Amino acid sequence: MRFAWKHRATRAEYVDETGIEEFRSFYLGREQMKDMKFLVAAYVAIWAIFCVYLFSVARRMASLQDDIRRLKEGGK
Amino acid sequence: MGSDSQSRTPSGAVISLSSVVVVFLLLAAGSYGALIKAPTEATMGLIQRIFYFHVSSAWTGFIAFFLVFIGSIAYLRTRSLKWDWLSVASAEVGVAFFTVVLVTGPIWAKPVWGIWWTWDARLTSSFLLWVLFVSYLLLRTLVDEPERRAVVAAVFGIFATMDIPLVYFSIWWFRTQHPQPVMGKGGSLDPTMWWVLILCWCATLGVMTLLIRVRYRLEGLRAEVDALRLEASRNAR
Repeated sequence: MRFAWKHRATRAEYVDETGIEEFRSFYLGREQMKDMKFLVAAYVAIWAIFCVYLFSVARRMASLQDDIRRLKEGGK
Repeated sequence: MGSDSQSRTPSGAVISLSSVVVVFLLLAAGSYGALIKAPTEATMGLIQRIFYFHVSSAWTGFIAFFLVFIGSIAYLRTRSLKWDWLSVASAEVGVAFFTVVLVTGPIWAKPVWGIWWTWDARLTSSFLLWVLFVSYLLLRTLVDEPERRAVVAAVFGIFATMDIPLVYFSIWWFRTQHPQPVMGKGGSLDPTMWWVLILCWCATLGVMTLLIRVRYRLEGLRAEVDALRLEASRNAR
């Protein structure tokens, strides 16, 4: 029996309805590419979050080092 | 943590090249394990591979927030500003890790649950934890005087960390959409998956340590700028 893949159906429901083998053949045929996009999106998001954070810290650090240099030069 | 005069002088290199190399190697090994070595999960398929960095980021975020708790208690006991620097550095890094958790969670949930988000106990308490620590960082910007800012932040930091047990135990205490634990009591994680998860956790712990050290150094520079400005204004009089 082919499971009707509705928008809100979960994978667990699909497996319950059709069995794991049917799910695997369906999964390999249709879902794997879609999953790959989500997986890539997740890993890109992880790297992006840390790159943005590191950039923000580096910028603040450079600004403070400029301030220190200016204040030290002004004090002489 | 040293006297107040010492706490105003940041010292030493921020991070060594060897520690950066070690963390990058751990990240490379963790990514290899998560994307290639670990077996594909039976029902969720490829998308389950998000699990390794989602879960390890959550655990690392908890540790960063717990460091805020330690730093806050220590500041209130000793009044050394270095503990306050540790708290703010850990809070900011913890927020970065929990941002990863809150972004990767919905990306994982959509294909598996059919929805991006649901207001169940685990998800809501995690979001609340993130909001509390973002508020902690915003609160710090509202107080100018360093000692007063440190006291207010320490009290709020202790209050905010009270949400950690609620997040952690929510899946036992409430019926949730979020899965039950896969490790420890009641868990049934494949041994290879288990090792890959531990490797990813070591990698995220390494990243956390490096980021906290860099962020701590930033607070040191900020204190140095404040001290130099004070000195300049005294000289001007």
